[in-house]
Amino acid sequence: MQLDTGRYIAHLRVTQKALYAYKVDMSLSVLFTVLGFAVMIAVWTAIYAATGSTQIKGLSLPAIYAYFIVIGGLNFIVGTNIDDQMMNSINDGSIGTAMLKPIRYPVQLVLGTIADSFSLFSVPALLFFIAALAIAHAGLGLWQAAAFLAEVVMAFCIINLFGFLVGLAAIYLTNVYGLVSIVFSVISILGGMVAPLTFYPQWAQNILYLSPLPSMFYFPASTFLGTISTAMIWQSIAVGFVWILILLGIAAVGWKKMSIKVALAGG
Amino acid sequence: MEDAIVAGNLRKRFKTHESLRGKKVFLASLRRRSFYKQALDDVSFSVPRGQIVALLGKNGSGKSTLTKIMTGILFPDSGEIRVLGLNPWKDRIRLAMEIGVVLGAHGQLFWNLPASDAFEYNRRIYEVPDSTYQKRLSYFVDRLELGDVYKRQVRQMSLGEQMKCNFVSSCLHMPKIVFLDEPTIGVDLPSKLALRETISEMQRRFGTTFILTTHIVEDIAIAERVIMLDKGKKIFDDTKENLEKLFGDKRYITLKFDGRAPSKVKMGKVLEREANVLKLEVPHRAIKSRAMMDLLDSKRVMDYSVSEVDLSHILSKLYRKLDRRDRTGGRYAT
Repeated sequence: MQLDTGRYIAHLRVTQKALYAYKVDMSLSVLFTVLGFAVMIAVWTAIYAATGSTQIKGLSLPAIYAYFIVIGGLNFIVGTNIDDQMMNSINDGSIGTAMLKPIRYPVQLVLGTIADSFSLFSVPALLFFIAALAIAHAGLGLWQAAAFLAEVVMAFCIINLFGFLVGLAAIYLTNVYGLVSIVFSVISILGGMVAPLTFYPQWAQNILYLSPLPSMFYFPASTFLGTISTAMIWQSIAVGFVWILILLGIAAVGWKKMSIKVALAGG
Repeated sequence: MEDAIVAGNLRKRFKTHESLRGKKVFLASLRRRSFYKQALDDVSFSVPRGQIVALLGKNGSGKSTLTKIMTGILFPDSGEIRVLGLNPWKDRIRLAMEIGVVLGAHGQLFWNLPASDAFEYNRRIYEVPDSTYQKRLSYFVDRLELGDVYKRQVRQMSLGEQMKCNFVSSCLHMPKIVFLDEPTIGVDLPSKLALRETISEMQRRFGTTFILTTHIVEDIAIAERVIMLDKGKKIFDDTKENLEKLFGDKRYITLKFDGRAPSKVKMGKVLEREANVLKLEVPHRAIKSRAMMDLLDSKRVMDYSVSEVDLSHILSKLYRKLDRRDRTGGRYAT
């Protein structure tokens, strides 16, 4: 496949510019993420207070705070709205116009998400990460930072591939809000957004560690805070990489099959 | 002349659904029947480079499907199509560099950004050199009387201004073929004229091929050729003049009488009668007939005018005929 870097940069720039134009929307997104994080802090503070323990499963309350602050930061940069974008453009027919550009539609989506995540929300994400390190009294070594960066990129790929597959379903289902909610709930519970996976039974952890779900939030957050072993980090990178290949394959085949029907879905 | 588009025996059918009637609203919404709709049925044609073709037909006749197949965003079930020598869906990205498309409501502009940003974006993705881009931009701004409008946010533009900017956006890379779907919808009269003149000039100066899907009769006037679809079949493919002849080789004659107008005359059909004025539809050849000459020479006729049957009349007559055929299940052949 030919890489048209000039076109991609142009698309990245204009998408970024269009996103900056929605300043209120951007501010509300930041507020929404902060509120979500605040809810988790409140819930876990209540849990620790109710149990009267200083540690649960080896994690202190400040460690839990740090964990959820990292999750909040990750949410800024790996969160996706590809599914929403696809559903809307399929339903209103604008996907036809998008497909007429000399840039492949899936590439347009990826570039749009990169513009959204890594440029607009990288500053608040960075602030969250610094705050987490301060609360956990933790440092960040070079190896740890490199592993974290690799896991963030992998989380971005996996989450957006999931989003792409859900969006693709809009060709058949028209409205995928229900599916989006189900997928979000599964990711929240099993991906480490509502609790570190160490809180689950060992057998459940063993199964989950072979799935793509912990690569979305749990592994990057734990790597960042240094709460998992080096061996586990390598395993998470290996498993995540395999899942990216599998999901890419499914997405490529799915797009090839579904793009035949996509233009007529919008009229 | 080399062909811009060659299509042979194109067929496309869609699976669609309709809800079945049930006693309960909830059950009715669950029950539905699937059926296939033949959107294109054995459509063949070729378009030489530099021709303006009007693609006509009632809603659901297959125009959009055909346009989507020609632009490469839809696959035909069977048949052959080459656009600029390329297979539209296999070489979609290469073809995208050579064509321009304005799809009515779905614009190329960014709602919260000035149109100039979309122009600049297209300059980059279509790899137009800056100096060429500047020349083309000033050409289109001048021809379409855009002034500084394109520097405003799209959401602050009128529909007509958006339409003109969409047209510019689609043509800045000087495509060899431009597909226009209802390009003058919502556009004021001076802008409509400017758009039509620009299309004609692009065809003359640059040899651009235009495929124009429209319901607006004045837009059809700039086309050299008309392809008409009905229920996915091509029912007419000839010059605009021949369409007029085929469906309307007639003339309107308005007669003003000295006194009360007669209720009927033998050489034509009375369309309107009002006190001393009579409007007739007569065969073209009847204008110079002896009977007509005698009538016009008679002292009873004070004044008269002759006009051609316009395209809107022809099309509405044709569409009514097609509707009647659909209701009765009969056939209509041109």
